[in-house]
Amino acid sequence: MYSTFARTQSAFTAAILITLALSLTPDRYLGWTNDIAEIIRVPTRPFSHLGIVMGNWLRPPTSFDSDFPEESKEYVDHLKSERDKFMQLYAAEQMEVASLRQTLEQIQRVPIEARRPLRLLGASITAHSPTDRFGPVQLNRGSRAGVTPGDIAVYNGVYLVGRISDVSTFGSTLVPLTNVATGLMLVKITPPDTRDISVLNLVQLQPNGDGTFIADVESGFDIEVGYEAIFSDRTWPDAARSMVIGTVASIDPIDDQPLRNRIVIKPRFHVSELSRVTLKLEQEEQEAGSLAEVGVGSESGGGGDP
Amino acid sequence: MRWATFVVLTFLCIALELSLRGVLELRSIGGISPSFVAPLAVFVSMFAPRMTALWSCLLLGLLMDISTPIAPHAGASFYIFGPYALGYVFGGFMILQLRPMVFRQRSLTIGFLTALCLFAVALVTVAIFIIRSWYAPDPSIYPISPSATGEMLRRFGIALYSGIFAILFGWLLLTTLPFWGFPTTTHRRVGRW
Repeated sequence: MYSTFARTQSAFTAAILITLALSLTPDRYLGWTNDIAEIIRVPTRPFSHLGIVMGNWLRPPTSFDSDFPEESKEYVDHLKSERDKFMQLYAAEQMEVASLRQTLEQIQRVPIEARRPLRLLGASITAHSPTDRFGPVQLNRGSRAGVTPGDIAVYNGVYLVGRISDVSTFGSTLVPLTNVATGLMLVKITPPDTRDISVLNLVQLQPNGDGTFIADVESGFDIEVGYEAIFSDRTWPDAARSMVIGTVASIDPIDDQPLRNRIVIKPRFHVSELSRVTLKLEQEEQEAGSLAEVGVGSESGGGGDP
Repeated sequence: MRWATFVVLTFLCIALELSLRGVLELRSIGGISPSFVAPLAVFVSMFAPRMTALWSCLLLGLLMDISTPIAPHAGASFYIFGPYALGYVFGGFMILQLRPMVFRQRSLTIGFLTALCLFAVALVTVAIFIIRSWYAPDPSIYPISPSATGEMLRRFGIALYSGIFAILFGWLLLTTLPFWGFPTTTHRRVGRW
C-alpha cells in the first residue's frame, strides 16, 4: 500500500501544488513553521553537533593572538597582566559610576535603575545553515537553561558574535552579527589596546552581506586601519556594550560624497567557524544603587567561556 | 527501494550538511561549501523507480527547507517550505530524463549530475525568492539580498564544487548499492571512476 501511494501520480501532483502554495505564502503566516522544524530537527541534532565538534577540531578558527604561542609561559603571563590591568580599570570605573549615579539621582530626584548582573552560559552550536555562511545557527541551550530572545553571544569573552532570535525548550537560534537581519548598530571606533571610550568616533554600522560591516563616516574622523569597533548601541542589552565587533580593514573615499569615507570593519570571528559560544544572560533586576550586585555573575551549569 | 536505508542515509547527509560545511568551506571564494544532500538525491534518482525518485527528491528538498531558517530584523526566525523542495524535484526530474543516457554506476556520472542538479535547484530557489520579494514587506532578509545575480553565481559555484566533491561521495554511495534494494540493479563491482 505504501509503495502504491508513492507511485500515485495524482498524490504527487497534489503534494507539489501544496508545496508551491506554501513556498509563496507571505512571511506573516509562517510562524508555525518554527515548531515543525524544531521537531523534525531533533533526530539530526546529536549527529550534526558531533560533526561540528569534529569539524572545529579539523579546522579550528584562527588564533586571535598571533604574537605568542598559546602554550608558552610568556603567553600565560601576558594574559594574567592584561587581566589584572583590566580588573583594576573596571574597579575604578565602578566607583566612578556609583559616584555619578548618586549625583544624578540627587539632581533629578529619581532613582536610576542599576545594571542587571549577568550569568554566563556556554552553548554548543548544533547546526549551521547549509547554504549561507552567515545564516542563523542552532544552539543546544533553550528556555530550560534560562535563554531568552535578545540574549547576546560572545566568543573569547570580548568578541560579540550574535544575538538570540528565538528560543525553544532545549534549543535556540543564534543570528550572527554579520547576518543582514542584524540591521544597523552603533559602535565606537577606538585605537587598539586602549579602549578609550571617550573618543567620539561614534558610527553606524550595517552588515554588508559578505561577512564584513560598512559605515559611512565624515572624512575628518580620526580613524585608521587597525582601529577596533566597540559595540555601543543602547537598543541592545547592556551586556553587549563594550564588546568588540572587529577591526577596521579599509578606509576608502566615496566618489559621490567627497567629504565622507566608507570604512569596512572585519569581524575577528565568524560564527560559521565556531563550535561553541558563550551566552550572556541578564539576571533579575537588582535594587538601584546596590554596588555588590553590579557586574558579571558567576559561571553556571555547564557554561563558561570556551 | 528500501525506505529504511533512505531514511538513515538522509539523516546522515542532512547532519553532514549542517555540520561539516566549515571544514570544506572555501572562505576566500564567497564561503562556498559542497552539498551532501544533492549527491544522495542524484543517486536515488538514478536507480529508483520514477515516482519513488520524485517523492524522495521532494522529501530531501523539504528537509533542506527545514534546515534553512530565515531571520527577520525583528521577531523569531521562520522557515519557507518549498524553494528547495521544488528545486530538488525539478533537479530529480532532470536526472530522470538523463539517466538512460549515462553510465549509472560511475562516480564521475554522479559528480556531473550533482552539478547539473544543483544548477536546477539554484534556478528554482532563486526564482521563488525573487517572486516572494515582489510582495514581501522586507525582501532584504531573503538569501537573494543584496543581489539575485550574485546569489545565482554563488550557487553555481556551490554546484561546481559539489560536483567535484560528489565524485568521491558518489563512490561511497555506490558502495551502499546492495542495501537499497533497487529493482533491476545488477550488483557488479562498483565504485569505478
